Amino acid sequence: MISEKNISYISLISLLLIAIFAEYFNEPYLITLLSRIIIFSIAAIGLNLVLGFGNLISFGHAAFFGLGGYISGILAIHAFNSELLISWPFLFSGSNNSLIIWLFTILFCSLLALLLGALCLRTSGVYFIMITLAFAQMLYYFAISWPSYGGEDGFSIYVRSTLFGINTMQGLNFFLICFFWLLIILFTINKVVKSPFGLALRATRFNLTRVKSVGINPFKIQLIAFVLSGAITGIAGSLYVDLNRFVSPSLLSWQMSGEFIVFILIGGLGRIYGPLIGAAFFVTFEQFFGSYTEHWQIFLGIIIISTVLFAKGGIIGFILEYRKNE
Amino acid sequence: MNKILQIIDLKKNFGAITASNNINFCLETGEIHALIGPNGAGKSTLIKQIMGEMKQDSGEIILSGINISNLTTEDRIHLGFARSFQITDVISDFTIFQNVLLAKIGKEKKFYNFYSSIDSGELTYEEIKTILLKIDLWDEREKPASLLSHGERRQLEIGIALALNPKLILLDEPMAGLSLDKIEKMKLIFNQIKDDVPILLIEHNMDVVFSIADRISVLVNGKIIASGTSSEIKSNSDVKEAYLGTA
Repeated sequence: MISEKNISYISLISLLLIAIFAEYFNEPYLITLLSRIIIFSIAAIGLNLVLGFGNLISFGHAAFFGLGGYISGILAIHAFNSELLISWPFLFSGSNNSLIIWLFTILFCSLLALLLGALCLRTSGVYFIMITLAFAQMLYYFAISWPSYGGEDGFSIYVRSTLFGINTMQGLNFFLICFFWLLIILFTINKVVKSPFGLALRATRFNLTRVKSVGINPFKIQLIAFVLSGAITGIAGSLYVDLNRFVSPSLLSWQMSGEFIVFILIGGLGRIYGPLIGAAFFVTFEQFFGSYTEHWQIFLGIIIISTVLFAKGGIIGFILEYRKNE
Repeated sequence: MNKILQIIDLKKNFGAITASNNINFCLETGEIHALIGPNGAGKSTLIKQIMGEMKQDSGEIILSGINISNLTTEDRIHLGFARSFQITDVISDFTIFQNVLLAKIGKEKKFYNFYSSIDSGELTYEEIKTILLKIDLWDEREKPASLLSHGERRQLEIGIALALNPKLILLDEPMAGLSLDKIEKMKLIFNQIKDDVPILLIEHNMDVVFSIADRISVLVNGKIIASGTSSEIKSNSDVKEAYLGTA
């Protein structure tokens, strides 16, 4: 019997199995591809919390992805060059310890989300889309015009950060770290969505008056969700930079925000595993058609339009619907 | 009898129009108090002021001894207000159970709980069961609200109001659009809950008002022209003249 739960287990196990096979047959490129799928899906899972469950269409989540990336890159490059990052109130020259990098990422991305959320959540609908986009673009142009960290060209970080002495330069090890993060985040989201907080968040999606009339302040609920969402997407940015060992302003571009939304739409809006399925489909699609033509996005466009017109529940919704009709 | 809600000298003007003109009345424990009046009498304006959605120009609103005249709607709800809307307003993508649970979560301020599961049944399950039995929807608790009939939605609204464990319930035209047998059912439900929670009833259907209200206040042009039991109101000449139109 195919249920949403089974689809999720199957997709997680196949990811793991393909990675192990790829290692066995010595296909490092495939493992990198799988790591990318996982990192993109983490980013989109973060976005899905506000977009899918709270109906807040943020078109600026690249801001968190990019901030996470830049924080990781800056900490790592300073540690690599033994350059001071700050000299007051204490001396600090970055770090290549993953735990410290993740801690900083979560902290700063939450703060940015708190700030942006507090401003953007005063609007709704189209205005919310536009104002989140505007803030992300501000960060994008700031990064481009920041010469200390490569400006438009970005910068390389040479080695991945270290975690408990694991050799992270080895593809499968790094994949497993990403996979572990994916499990933690899926578990967290699953828990949050089914909690009283999650019920309140889902309620804000349909009817703000009703939510207020039972004594819940929808703004606070949405703001907390936005902060959690920003932190998760930030972690993805941090892992993405570590994977590529390269930081560039394109992390912050609106195309990135757009891709996150596409993952969610293709996979299934408001489904916990939707972004994972969507990102897997997207990356595979890009690889496959990208090898034939550089205009592969034409075919992607057709898929997105058909999803919107014929399969509003995305791939997961489509499969579940199909099984029901059988 | 205890006064739950007291309105004292409430005034509200919109430019030259007086929407509330020195309104005084009270709601006591165990009663259904109906507020009636022709269209444009100022009923909606009065309700908005009571709920805190609109600020009065002067006067006071007292909820069991506490002056709530300057509090926000949210604060008033936490102090014990519950209302059902003129336009039925449940969350149609939620089940009946989830709709009532959401209200319970709001009331008990559990909306910052990120770890309990709402499916596990541990969260105030018994209390919700009691409420759903009272409004006669327990057997249909897993039905999405979008599939409910108009009457069932109304019942659910009452359930949501009850879940807020209120000091009083404000019902804004609860019988609008209901069939005769549904109206009888609602009357039974109201009579059952009024001993726990007094009801302030805004209603156009005079048969309903005269049959279930313990007291009736008549609002005309922003002023309460009469207050009393059904028989008193029926025989009041001012009411007949201004409202029932039989001069």
